[in-house]
Amino acid sequence: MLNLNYSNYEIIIVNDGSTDDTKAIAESMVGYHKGTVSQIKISLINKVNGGKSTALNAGIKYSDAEFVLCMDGDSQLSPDSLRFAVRHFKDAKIGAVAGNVKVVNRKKLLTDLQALEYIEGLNMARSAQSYLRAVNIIPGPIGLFRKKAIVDAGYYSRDTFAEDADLTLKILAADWNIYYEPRAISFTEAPSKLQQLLKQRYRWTRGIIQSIRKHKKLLINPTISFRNTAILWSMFYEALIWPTMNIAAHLFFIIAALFFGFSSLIIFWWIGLAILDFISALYCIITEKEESRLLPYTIVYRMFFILVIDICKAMSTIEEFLGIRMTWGKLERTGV
Amino acid sequence: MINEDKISKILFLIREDHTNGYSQIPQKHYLGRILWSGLVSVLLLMVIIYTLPKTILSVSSLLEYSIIVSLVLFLMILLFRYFTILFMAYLYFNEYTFLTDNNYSPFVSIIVPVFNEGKVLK
Repeated sequence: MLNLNYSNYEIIIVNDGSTDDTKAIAESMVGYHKGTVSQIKISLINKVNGGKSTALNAGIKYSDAEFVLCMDGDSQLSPDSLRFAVRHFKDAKIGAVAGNVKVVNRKKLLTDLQALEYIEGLNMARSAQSYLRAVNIIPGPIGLFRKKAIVDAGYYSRDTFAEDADLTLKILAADWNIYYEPRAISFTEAPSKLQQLLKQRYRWTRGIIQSIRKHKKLLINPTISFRNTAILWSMFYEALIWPTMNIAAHLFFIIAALFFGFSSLIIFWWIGLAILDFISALYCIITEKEESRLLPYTIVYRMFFILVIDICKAMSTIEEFLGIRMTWGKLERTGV
Repeated sequence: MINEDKISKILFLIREDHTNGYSQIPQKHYLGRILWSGLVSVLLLMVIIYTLPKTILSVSSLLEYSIIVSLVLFLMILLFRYFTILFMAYLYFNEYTFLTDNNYSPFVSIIVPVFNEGKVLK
């Protein structure tokens, strides 16, 4: 983070009651350090454990800057990320800029599939939403905010499992615009085991549903803000309707193929989907200048990966609606 | 290395305005909904079973029709979703500018929350 091609920034580390040697390591970093362009001040806040949202709120409240960049402790920013993201704030209506998250621990089937998902499924959708200046989730690994927008939104909340989605919706509800900057890149470690991945998606889905429910007034009343109603419906569709439809369609078509002689039709249907994914992935890989070796994964991506993720989403949706209590769970980082 | 001369310790209180944890929804409320929707589905199924012999459709042709209609509907929704996203992403890239203003560099705080991440922080 000292290598950013930007002159005017500081780093505030918020130690959220760590029980290992994090405090000592963070303390050894406090002070002024030589950055690429200027001297960079590193400060440390030690607080009792209260979760990521309280840690971020502590850092935001401590900061005197007009803009704050919120990230995850295990993410790495690309040198130009800040320079490219900050320029959008010349537009006074922009309240936040969502960055581009890339998977750093690739070369494994599961992490490669997630790399493809981040490019095709998440970043492409963010580009589309950015055209309307209404990105619906500012990713945890990189989000640059106008501090006033966070204050207007009432800071990060602790009442959902997806504090980044919730804050984004609150910023949009406060009538700010949100843009996506593909060159503001943050590298993050993706789960390398299926169980970890399912835990992560389980938490994301429940968090998104909780965030949607918090803003249900906007969902059902387009007269408050038509843009925000459209955003919430698209989130509702992606989180609830689409996974259910996808699972039901797969089950239905498998039964139709096995018992009613529709196997050739179903095969064509799957091939059609794979081609569609291939074209879409190709477009995203070209626009993002990504690795072309990810392209063949599109076949596995549609047939298995998305289906597994959708089953996980459906299960978490049911559990959320039944009000089953869940724990946070934490991804074991290898420090790639 | 710690720069002792440049460090000042400040003690400040952060007011926590938010509730601890998240609200749980009463299970009975949703179980009731599930039971009601199940009951409605069973009723619909019974209506189909009862009225089907009175129409020109047979069970197998009904299944064939429903498979084809579902397939087409599913593909239409999928294609609409894909092409809407692709088209809007194309519009976004079309208006995207690569220009940066070197004179505009406001002060930014980077907030790094850490919990037992010393290994990664290092």
